[in-house]
Amino acid sequence: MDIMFVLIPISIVLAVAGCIAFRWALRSGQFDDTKTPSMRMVFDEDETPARGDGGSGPTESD
Amino acid sequence: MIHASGLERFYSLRDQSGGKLSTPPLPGQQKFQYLDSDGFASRYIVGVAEQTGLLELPLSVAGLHCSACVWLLENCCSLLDGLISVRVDFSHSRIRAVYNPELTAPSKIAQLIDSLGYAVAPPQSSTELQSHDQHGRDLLLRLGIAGFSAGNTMLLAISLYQGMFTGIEPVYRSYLELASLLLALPAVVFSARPFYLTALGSIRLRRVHIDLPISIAILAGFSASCINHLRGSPHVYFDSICMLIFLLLIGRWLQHKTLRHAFQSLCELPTLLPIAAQVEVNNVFKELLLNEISIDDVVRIQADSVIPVDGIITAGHSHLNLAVITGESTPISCAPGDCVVAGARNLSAALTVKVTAAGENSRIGKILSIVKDAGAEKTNVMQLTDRLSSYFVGSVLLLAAATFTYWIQFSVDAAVNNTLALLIVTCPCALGLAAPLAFAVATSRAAHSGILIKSHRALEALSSVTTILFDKTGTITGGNPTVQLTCSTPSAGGDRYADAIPAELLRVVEGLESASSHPYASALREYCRTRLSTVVADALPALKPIEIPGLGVRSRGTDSTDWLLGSEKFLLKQGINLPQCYKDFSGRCTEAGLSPIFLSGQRRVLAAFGLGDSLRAGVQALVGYLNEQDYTVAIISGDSSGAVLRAAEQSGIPARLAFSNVSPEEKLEMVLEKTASAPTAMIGDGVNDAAALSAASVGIGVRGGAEACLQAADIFITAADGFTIKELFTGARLVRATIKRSLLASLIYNTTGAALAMSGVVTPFFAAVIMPLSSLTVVLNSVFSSSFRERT
Repeated sequence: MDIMFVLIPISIVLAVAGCIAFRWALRSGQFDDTKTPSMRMVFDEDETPARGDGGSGPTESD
Repeated sequence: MIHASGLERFYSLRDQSGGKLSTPPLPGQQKFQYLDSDGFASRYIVGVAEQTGLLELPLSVAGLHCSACVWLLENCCSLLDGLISVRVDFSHSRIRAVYNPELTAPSKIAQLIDSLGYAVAPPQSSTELQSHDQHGRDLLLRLGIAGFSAGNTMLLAISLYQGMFTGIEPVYRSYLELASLLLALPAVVFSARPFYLTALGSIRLRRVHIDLPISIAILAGFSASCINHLRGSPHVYFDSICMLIFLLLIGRWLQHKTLRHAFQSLCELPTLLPIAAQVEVNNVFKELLLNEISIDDVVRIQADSVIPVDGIITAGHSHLNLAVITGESTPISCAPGDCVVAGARNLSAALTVKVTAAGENSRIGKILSIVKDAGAEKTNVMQLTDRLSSYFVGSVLLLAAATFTYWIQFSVDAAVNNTLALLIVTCPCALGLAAPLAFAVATSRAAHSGILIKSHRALEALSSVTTILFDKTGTITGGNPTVQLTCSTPSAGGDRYADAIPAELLRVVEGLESASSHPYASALREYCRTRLSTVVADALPALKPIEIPGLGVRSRGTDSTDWLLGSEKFLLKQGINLPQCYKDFSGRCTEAGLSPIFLSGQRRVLAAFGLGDSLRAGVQALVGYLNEQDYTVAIISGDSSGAVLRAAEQSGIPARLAFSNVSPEEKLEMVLEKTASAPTAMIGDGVNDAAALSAASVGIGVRGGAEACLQAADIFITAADGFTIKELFTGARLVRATIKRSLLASLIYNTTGAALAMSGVVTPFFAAVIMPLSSLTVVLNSVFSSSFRERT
């Protein structure tokens, strides 16, 4: 069980890293709008013909 | 246009999500020139990056319903050269458009969005909103850190609890406790700071706030746990404390979120004044933002639009609807030399106005700022939970002292541990969660029914209100005139008259009023349309009605019948006198507070209409319910006594409680007087109610209300009927009942826990179990409460 003395500090470091990531995400405004990204997820990239970026795969039929 | 650009997917997405466009776009009405002005650019437009030369334009967009709208806006760049990208922020009704200033301009972008069917406006720069958002971020960070602490300490605590039952080597126990201590630090030191600050503030003010026992529990618990750890005693409470902080912050977060939602909804409602106006600059009329207009500028106001400034008419004859200030919707004629106020509606013809005051200095601007100041000073009704917590704190501290003095006879150890256990177990976790949670659930549900509640205090105050004051025009009544009475002479002549009007005459009336934008015209058209089975606006093509402002409409039909439709004065001017039966009709109308309009053909009066305001749907039921529940219900209105008495009678309010011809200042006085004796709710719309709304214990604004009213009101109802108002009152009562139940449950837990702690039975494990149980009960109780449920 002595391994605990090593494992717990390592886990704490990982958890703290997670906290830092959370703080960064919060500061950069990623939590300001939680509704629109959920809508954006269902869009297909390859619909509008005139867009220069994005994929140009075959359109899916609904 | 949507199909042409290959954006058919919009429709499939839209059908999938069930949304639909709100109103069809008005062709060519808006040009958004003011977005190109330097004033706007310097305030809002930002450069994207140095090298690219691209600019970013933020805009408020209303009418976003579903994912299809988001998709359409984000993919519409192909429709405009120079528009690079659009990013939608759905929850804040905002977009950010990146564009190339050499190829396109902000006004063109706005026109594109407008043509797709969404209302465009300059971005909201309310400082209130911004600081609210900043506070939200801060809260979320604290919540996240608290969650981190709570989760990790709980994981470690599992081992410690296990060790309590089956034995654990001291060195491991000590190590785990130390790890728990370190993990609890962020929560105690950082996340819980708001509680400490409020508690300190409340001590200074000598007022008891619920944050005080919370802070004591956290700090005492943490320090005692540290001491116990150093002494080797197993009574450590790190996990319970972290969980306490985490749950309480969730309560705060919920409160914040629901308030944000209410703010947002309020901001989306149409504003009092138009954003821009046509101003004469160098002999050309240019569109400028309101804050760019100065005194002595010349402004042109189109027919059927809102007047943006205070001023004097220099050219044009028209009618004005001053309901926003006076509360009366009867049109008033105006001519060069007359004064106009910002916020009034220009009805029939274009006007040219010289500005005397604009923006904050206009009469409306001044009223708005009075309202704002009054709102800030509003006395705080002590919330139920605040009152309860003061008793609670007192009792707990007494019990803690008693426990300590009792156990100290036996051992210091026992004394400290039991007192600490008492403080933690009786901690008002549920107390701090019960009210915010119940209000949060109620507020978001209410929002779905069209009731926007700005603060929890308002909802709570509502359940203790005993007097309710109604405004008349626009609140109880529709605000727009409708046909109430009719009368006609059969063509056979004679003095007999019938109540109904024959169809041919209705057709004539519809034809005569087809081109007019006078409110009476639309009332008459509506009446004819509902009575006739087909729309026959072109049935009498030869009718070329000529409108004579302030008086009526005349025309000559193909059969050379001279038609006249208008007020008694109008007919008299043409030399037509009213026969006796119509004079009686006119008398009946005046008694009831209606305006009579007469139709004559070939110099004989053939029919008459009595126009006035009618009650909104559900008002009778609402007043009936309120009277049943023993509320004192009264009407206060600026309208004439005939109209007010009629409305009182129709809705079921006793005549002695119907007050008429009341000016805005008198309204305020009456509200103050009534509020002094008992908690009063005021329901109104329009600027003339704004001051009264701020002064009442609870101010309720109703659909169609002006922005001043919205700022002054604590609750805003977007639906136009009495049913929703009734729902508000019943909902407020149900919420109070829910909170009482939650508090009762948490009280039971607390007393049981306190009894057990005092008798020395409580271990940290027990404390850790009892607290989430009480919180869970509160949560379930609030979620399953029946307040503001969807109407089936």
